[in-house]
Amino acid sequence: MSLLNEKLLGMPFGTATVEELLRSGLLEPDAIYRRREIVEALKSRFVELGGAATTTSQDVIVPLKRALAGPLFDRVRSGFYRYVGTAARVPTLGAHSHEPTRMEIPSGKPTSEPWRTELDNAATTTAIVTMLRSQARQTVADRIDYLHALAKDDPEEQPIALESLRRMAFFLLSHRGLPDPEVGASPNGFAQVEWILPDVSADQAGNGLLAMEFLPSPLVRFAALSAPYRPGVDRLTVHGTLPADETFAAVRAFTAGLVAA
Amino acid sequence: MTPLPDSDHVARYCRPSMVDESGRPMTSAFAMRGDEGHLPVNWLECFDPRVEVAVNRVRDALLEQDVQLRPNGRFALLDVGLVKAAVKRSLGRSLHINRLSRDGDPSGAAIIGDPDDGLMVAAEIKALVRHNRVRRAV
Repeated sequence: MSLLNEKLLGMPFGTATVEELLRSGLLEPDAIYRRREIVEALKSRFVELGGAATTTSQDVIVPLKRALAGPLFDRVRSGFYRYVGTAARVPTLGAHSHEPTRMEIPSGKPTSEPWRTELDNAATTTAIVTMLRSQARQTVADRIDYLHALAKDDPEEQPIALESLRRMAFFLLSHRGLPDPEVGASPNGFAQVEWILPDVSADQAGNGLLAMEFLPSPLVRFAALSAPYRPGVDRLTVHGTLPADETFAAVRAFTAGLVAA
Repeated sequence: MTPLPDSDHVARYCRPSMVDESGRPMTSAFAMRGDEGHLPVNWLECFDPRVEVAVNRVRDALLEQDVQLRPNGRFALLDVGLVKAAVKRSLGRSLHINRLSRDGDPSGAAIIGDPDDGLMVAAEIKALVRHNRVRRAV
């Protein structure tokens, strides 16, 4: 958990954090909750993922209010809210010991596509590969198969952490407009993908690239540059660590070129 | 640890999991582990000014250290000055590329930086590696 701690400590508890934690399956769609239950659940999950242990309910309430006023919740009566659910739910992170008590049994209304549930339930690398294959990400599936075999045969290669792989798969299946990336293993044993950007410069200066490392948490580490370094030539560059959807927004200037390519 | 001259070159061995399907090293090949502050490389001019001769000597030096070079692995050849300038420009921080002799290998060297910047540093380095700067590992 040290890496997680390193990345989440100091991360402000803002609206984006609330939304990301909700997408991790914290609440049951279509169930009704007391507001204080939601606050406690968010706080517990945040700390569980390595966020600051000193996080208070007050820290959570302000950003939660914005989320409660948005499309994710319907106000039932004072202090009670129905969680509508998110369209882009990401996989859960394991134990759910801090989930709030449900006050209503869900209606069973389908809130997501079947592949999301299947991916959530995938317990092995092979299951994730099968899922990717069935969802038209054949090239990515083949590559993960290859990396999996490498890690089994070569003691110097390490397997990709399952949770990281799941989050990578979720990202790629949620953004189907993106072409298949190159897939590799980061030195930390996490799934890393990258796209080579088309070279649109008049002098063919070379390709830029977009790289993402999927941590086994809601966070993605990313780096992008529009062209290789050349003295005196301006380029676009961006890097950071953000929740997956915010990462996609942060690198939109680069993915736009990929989709158009 | 002596800094290498900016005009010199280093080779980075990239394991198969860090080489893409067309044989190009991926960004991950140049990323430091979270718990390490350096990336091992080999100084080419230590052996010979001719690149192909130097790469062969690096290959031998790594095999002597029991590094398992794989058929799908690659060497990426890096220009010391260019790598340092690229990182300085994008991150505003100095990267060091120094001699770091290991196991009696005189070409031993390392790229030394802050692991927190790892992915951006790695992306800058990877972008500089064109096809003609890649060699087969075996």
